[in-house]
Amino acid sequence: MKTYLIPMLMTAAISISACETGYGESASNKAEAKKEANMEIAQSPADLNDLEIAHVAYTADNIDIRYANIALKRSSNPDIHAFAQTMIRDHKAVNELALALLDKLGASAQDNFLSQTLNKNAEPIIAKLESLSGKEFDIYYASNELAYHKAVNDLVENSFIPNIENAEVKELFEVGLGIFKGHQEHAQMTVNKLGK
Amino acid sequence: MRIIIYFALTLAVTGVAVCAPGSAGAEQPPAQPVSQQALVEVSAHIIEIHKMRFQTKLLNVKIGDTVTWTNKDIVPHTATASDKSWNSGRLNKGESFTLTITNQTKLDYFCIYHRQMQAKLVIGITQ
Repeated sequence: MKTYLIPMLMTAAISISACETGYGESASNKAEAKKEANMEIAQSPADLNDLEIAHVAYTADNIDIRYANIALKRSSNPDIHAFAQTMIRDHKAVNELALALLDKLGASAQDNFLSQTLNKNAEPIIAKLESLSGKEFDIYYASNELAYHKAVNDLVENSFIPNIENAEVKELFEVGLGIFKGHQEHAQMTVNKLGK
Repeated sequence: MRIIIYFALTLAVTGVAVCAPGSAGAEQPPAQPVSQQALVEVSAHIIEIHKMRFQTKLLNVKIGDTVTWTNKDIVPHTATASDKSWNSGRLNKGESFTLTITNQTKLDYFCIYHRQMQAKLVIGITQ
């Protein structure tokens, strides 16, 4: 799909660049151009525009914060509490920076299929977390955090960063990726400790 | 980055009574101040916290050195002794914490918020 889209996107981008007044307008027009060209709406992460990618990241952060709040409520394990508090602290920090950057660029994140899929997929996990307690909860929460960070990090590193057009947005994602890889290591440590 | 500071330690010894065997009653020259200067080299080390790492994982230090941790990440960190005998507290982006090394300093440390972040100071040659 990506290969097929490139020539059309280039054409659209060229026509937009002559009249764009801001980054937000550029990305918005890019999305509109896709529709006007009667192209298939992006259904691959690699086809998302910067503002859609920002929305996915914001959504993924908020899902992890929801998981962490459940962990603080349901677990009595100090390691789980420490991990959950770090997830809330760090993901909020990244989201605040992302919103500040979008504000500076005069743009808004755009909802898309992937954000919706992430939210949809999170619901059964939240239901499961709400149903567990004790060590069973701790193991499920930590294992899910490990799997979630692996999946999102892979998405960010291999699908998002190579396709982000705006340099500042790309830089923020690179910084975020470093943080989330740290979370992945932390989750792995927590899983290992629980398994002992 | 390593900043070397030289401290001149002056030991002034005044009024030293010289009392050698067989010299009792002998006239003594007036006591002179004796200055002894010792140079102690103290280093100031800086460790950046960046990309979820203590950028210097293993640092050689001496007693009397200082170590300063500076957080370059957008998320907060700490530099905390493994036994929590010293602790930077929360370091937001751009904030620093300085520790002076003594022979009591616990050398293993980590970030309280990110347990995978661990590093170590190593006591090298002491003065």
